[in-house]
Amino acid sequence: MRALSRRSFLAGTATAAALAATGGTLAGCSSSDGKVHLELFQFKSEAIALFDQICADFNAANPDIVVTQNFQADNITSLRARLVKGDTPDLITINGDYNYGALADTGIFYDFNRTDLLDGVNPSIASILDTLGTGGEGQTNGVAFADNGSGIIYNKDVFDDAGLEPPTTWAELIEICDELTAQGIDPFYWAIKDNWTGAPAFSSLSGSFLTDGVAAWYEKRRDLDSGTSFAELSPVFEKMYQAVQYGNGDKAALGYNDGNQGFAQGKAAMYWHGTYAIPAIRSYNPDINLGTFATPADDPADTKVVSGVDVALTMGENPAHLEENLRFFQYLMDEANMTAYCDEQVAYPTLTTLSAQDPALEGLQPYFDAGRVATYSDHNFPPAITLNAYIQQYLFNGDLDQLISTLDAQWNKVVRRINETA
Amino acid sequence: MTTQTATAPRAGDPQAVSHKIRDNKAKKVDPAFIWMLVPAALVFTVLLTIPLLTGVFYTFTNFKGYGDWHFVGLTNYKNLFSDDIIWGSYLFTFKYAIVASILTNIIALGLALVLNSKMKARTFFRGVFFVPYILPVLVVSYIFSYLFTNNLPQIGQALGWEWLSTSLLANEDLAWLAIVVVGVWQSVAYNTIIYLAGLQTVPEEIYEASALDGAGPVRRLWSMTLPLIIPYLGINMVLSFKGFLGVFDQIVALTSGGPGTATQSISYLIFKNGFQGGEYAYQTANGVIYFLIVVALSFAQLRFTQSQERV
Repeated sequence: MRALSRRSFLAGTATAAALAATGGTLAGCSSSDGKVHLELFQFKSEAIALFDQICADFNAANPDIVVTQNFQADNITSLRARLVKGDTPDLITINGDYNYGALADTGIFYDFNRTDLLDGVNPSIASILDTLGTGGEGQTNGVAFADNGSGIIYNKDVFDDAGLEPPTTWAELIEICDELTAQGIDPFYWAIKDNWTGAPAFSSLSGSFLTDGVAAWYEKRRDLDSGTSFAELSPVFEKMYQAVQYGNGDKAALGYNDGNQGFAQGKAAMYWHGTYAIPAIRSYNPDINLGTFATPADDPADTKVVSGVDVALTMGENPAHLEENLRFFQYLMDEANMTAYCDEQVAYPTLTTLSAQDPALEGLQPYFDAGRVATYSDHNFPPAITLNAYIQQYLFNGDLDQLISTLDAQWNKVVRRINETA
Repeated sequence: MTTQTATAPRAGDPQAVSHKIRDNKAKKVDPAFIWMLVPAALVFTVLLTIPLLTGVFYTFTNFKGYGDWHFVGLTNYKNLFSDDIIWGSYLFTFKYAIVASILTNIIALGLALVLNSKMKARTFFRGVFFVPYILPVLVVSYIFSYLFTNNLPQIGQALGWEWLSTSLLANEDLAWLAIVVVGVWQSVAYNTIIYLAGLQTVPEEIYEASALDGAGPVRRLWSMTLPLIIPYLGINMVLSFKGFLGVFDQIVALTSGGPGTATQSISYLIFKNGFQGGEYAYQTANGVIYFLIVVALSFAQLRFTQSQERV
C-alpha cells in the first residue's frame, strides 16, 4: 500500500467523483438481463404498498418486463426537474389539477386517443382532463384511473338522531342548519386555518351554479376584453359565507387535520370536503358512519357533483418502450386492479362498468352514472393567483366587494402577464 | 491575485509595499496556499457564482422551470414594479424586519448588561438564554403555533380581551406581530452573545473614573458603555436586519403567508410562486431585486454605524 500523497489522494477523489456521476444514475433501460425495465413514477403515499403488489403481480405475469415503483411525494416538482434533464419517467401517475394542464399544454405527454385505453372510461370523466390542458386539438393526454367526488360529507348517526334527511335544494340545506342549531348541534365543522379548506365549498357550489360548464366560463374569463367579472359568481360566494356562519366557534384556529379529527369525534353534522377526506376521517374513528350528498343547487335539476381525476395515468410523448408501457397501463385499468385501488383509497372507479362499493360514496354515485359531473372551479386558476388565501380572508371578514375586486384585479394581472410572456 | 499572498508586508510600512511592487521576481509562493485556495475558489464559483449568473440570465426569459423558453427582455422586471402582491410582500417584510431588529437589539442589549453584571450563577444563566438559538426554527415555530392557537386565546378569554380571545394567527391585522414575537424570541440569544463579547472589551477603569466624577448608572450606560460598544451595535443591527429580511421558516410553520396574504414575506413569495406557481423566471427577477436591496441596505447600515464610531 502506497503512503497517501497529496497527488494520489486528489486522483482518488477525482475517480470517485467520476464514478458517482456515471454509476449513480439508474439504469432506466433494458439491461444485461435482457428484460425491459420500466419506472412507475407514483405520487400517492397511501398507495405505495398496493402499487408494489400490482407491480409484483404484473412482473410475474410478464417475464420480459420489470416495473419498479418510484414514489415521489412532491411529484410535480421532481417531475419538472426530471423533464428539465430530458429524463421523462416511463410510467407516470399524476393528479389532474392545474399543474397537469400546464404540463400537458407544453405537449410533453402522449395522446391516448391513439390507443384503446380510453374505451371503457366514463366520457364525462375522461373529458375533465381535456378541459385542464392538452398538447393539441382533440388530444387526451391522460387516462383517468381513479376519481374523487366533492360534495358534502355528513355523519349519518348525527342526522338520524336529529331526525334529518340529506337535502335536495339549498333552501333545505339552510333549514337543516337552522334545525341542527336549534338542537344545539354544530351543523358544519370548519377548519379554515389551512387556507385551502375553503376551496372545496367554492368548487362544489360553482359546479352547480355555472350551468353552461365551469371550464367554459373560465375560458370566457381568460379573454380579458370579454367584460366578464367574478361578480357573476357572487351567489356562490354569498352561499359560502352563509354556510360558514353555521359552524364551530374555533374554526379559525383549526387546520385540516384538526378538522378531520374533530369531525371524526362527532363534533358536527356535516363536513364540506371531497371524498379524499374520508380515509383521513376514518383513521381517527374507524367506526364512524359517513355518507355523502351532492352540494345542492337552488333547483335540484342543476345539482352536479364536482369531480377531479385523483389519479391519471400518462407517459412521455415519445416513450422508449411504447408497447410495454401500454401493456402495463392495460393491466392497471383492468377491473380487478381498479376495484382494488378504489376500495382501498375510497375513490370512484372511472370505468363505466364499475361503481363505488364504499357506503360513504353511495350518495354521489348516481351523479357519476348520469354524467352529471363538473370540473373543479379552482383548478382553472393559475397558481400565481393565491385564490385560497383570498377565500380564507373573505370567510373571516365577509367583505364580498373586496373579494370580487381582488379576484378581478389579480386575475387580470396574472393572465395578462402569462399572455405577455407566453 | 494569489502570487503575493506569501509575503505580507508589515502594516504601515510604505517601504515594504513599494518594494514588493517593484520586485517582479516575487518569492515563490508556498504551494500549500494554492492547495488551500483553489478548491475553495472552485467550490464557491461552481456552487454560488454560476447559479447566480444562470438565475440572472433566466430573468430575461419566460422560463417556467421546465420546458421551452424564449427571451422576453425586461418584461419580468417591468411587471414586478406594477405587481401589488410583490409590493405587499416587500411592505410586510420591511415592517417585520425593522420592528423585529429594534426589539431584538433592545432586549439583547438589556440581557447582555444583566448577564454581564456580577451576579450568582452567571454562567448558568448565560447558558439558559442561549438555548433558543440552538433549537431549530421550525420546531420553535410549531410550538408557538400551538400556544397561539390553543393557550393564548384561553388567557385572552379569561381576561376578557377581545383581540386576544381568538388566535392571533387568524387575525389579519395582528398575525405579523405573532411572527415578530417568535422571530425575536429566537434571535435574541445570538445577539446577546455578540453584545456580551462587546462588553468584555470595555475596561473597568473608566467606570471607576466616572464613579469618582459622580456619574450614576444611567449616565454611565449612556455616556460610557454605549459609545464604547457602538461597533457591536452596528454589526448586530446589520446582521439581524439582514436575517429578518429573509424570514421564511417562521412563516411556513405559523401562517403559510396567511390570513389572506397578510404575512407573505419576500422569500416565501419567491419560493411559493416560483417553484409551485410556475413563475420561475418572474420570481427569480424578484429575487435579483431583493438581493440588490439587501446588499445596498447592509452597506448603508455599515457605513452609518462606522461613522458613529468615535473610539
